[in-house]
Amino acid sequence: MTIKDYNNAVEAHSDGVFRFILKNIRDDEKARDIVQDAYAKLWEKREEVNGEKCKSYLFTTAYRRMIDIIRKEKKQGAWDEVKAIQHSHDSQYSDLSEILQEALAKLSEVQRSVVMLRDYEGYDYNEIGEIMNLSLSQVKVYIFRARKFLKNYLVSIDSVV
Amino acid sequence: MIKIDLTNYEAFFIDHLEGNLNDKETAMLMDFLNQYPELKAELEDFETITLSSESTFLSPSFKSQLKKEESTGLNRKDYLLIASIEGQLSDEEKMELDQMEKASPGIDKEKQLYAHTILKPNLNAVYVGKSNLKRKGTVVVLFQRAAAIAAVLLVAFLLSQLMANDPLYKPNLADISKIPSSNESTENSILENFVIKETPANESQELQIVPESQEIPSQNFYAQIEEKKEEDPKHSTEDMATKANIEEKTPAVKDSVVHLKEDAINFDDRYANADGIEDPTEPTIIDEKEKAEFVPVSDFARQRIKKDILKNKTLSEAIADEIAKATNDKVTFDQVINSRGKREKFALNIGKLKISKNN
Repeated sequence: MTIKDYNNAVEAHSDGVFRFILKNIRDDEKARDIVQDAYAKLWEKREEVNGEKCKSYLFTTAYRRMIDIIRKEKKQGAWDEVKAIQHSHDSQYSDLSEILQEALAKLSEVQRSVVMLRDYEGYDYNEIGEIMNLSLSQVKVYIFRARKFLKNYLVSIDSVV
Repeated sequence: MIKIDLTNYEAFFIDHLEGNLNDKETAMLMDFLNQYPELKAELEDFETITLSSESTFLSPSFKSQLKKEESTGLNRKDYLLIASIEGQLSDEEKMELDQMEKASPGIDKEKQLYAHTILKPNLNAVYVGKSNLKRKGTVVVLFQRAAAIAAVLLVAFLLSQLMANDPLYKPNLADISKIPSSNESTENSILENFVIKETPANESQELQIVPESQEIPSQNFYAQIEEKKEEDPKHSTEDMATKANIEEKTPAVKDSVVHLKEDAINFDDRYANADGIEDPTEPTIIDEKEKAEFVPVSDFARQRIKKDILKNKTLSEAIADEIAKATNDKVTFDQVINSRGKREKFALNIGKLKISKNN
């Protein structure tokens, strides 16, 4: 990877990596630090990383760094399945995206990451598996269960509102 | 064994029809029927009543909704709906979902709900400070280094050219290809591969440099020298020798003929340094007879260079000045020379570029 390729990767992927990490970690400063760490790692390994693979390398590195930080701070958000009746809502929702963002925050970090990589970045199941070190079937399970949860959340909102 | 009576005969009828009675029990049942012949007709009715097996089957679509997917643990309906928005349905699954939608119209609303779960990125969330992530190329640094190296080579080339252009030091340009190649600097190869001879004294004294490969007719040459001396006894190359006497250690000779025989031009390593001209050297003496007549090439070159080119600066200072001009950076050069005249340490600073050596 040339310096030009590296700088192009900054332009092309820094926003996407930042959004992905920010949604997960919900801390702007930490998300920026993780982005910087990911690019620093990419720079160190620039001769080993192909220009075409740099996006997945960045997401992989950023995700693993994020997991390290989360584990260190012992943040847990393990919701594999939430029944509609358990939701509580304090405010009125203006649009669907707000509801989804709230639902997204209630997912486990693995499910949240899988869904975001799928929808935000358009990765297929194999690529997601490589980034997150999951098997194809695991990715599928996480996505399907995450969607079920999000749908139930929407239904619950609909019923409450 | 239980006795058959009017309170339990129906159970015996069912067991009889299913073949669960042994011979003794069957005999008891027959005896009972002989006692109550009107119950024989009831037993016959039991035998004729059967249920249709088709009515016990559930529809496949109903069954599929009950099933759980092995991979996800979701029921079939949810699995198919999610797979449809993920683009993961096979042709058979598509058909199955179509049938399910036809059988249950409410599924369409659920399908729309699942479609709403597809996330869309917030493009307003951007990473500020991309410029801090970017890297600058090393072109500028390389250019500075290349410029410094080029400056050194340029100075060396200029020195050689100036030496060549000196009217008293005129090279007889031989076939360059005959000059043996050397890995030393350009300056050293010039010094090593050329023999300098001085034409006899006249107004336009010319020093000719001939390649080492060319033979030098020493006898005729010396004869010429003697002839010229006779013609113009006042002339001497004493001035030349004086000029060539750069270092105090270089002996002054009255009648100097800058001429080196072939076996005297094998410069040793003392002349191999890039800055070797500054090194104090002993003259290359051929023999006693010629001792007073010869100025070594290096001494002569040293004298000329010091005066005309270096402007009485040291070579290091002159080169430092040239580099400073070329790179537009501050240049400092420090060195430590031991008692033997050998440079032990040096440090060359060209702006931020530092080159040093510690022996």
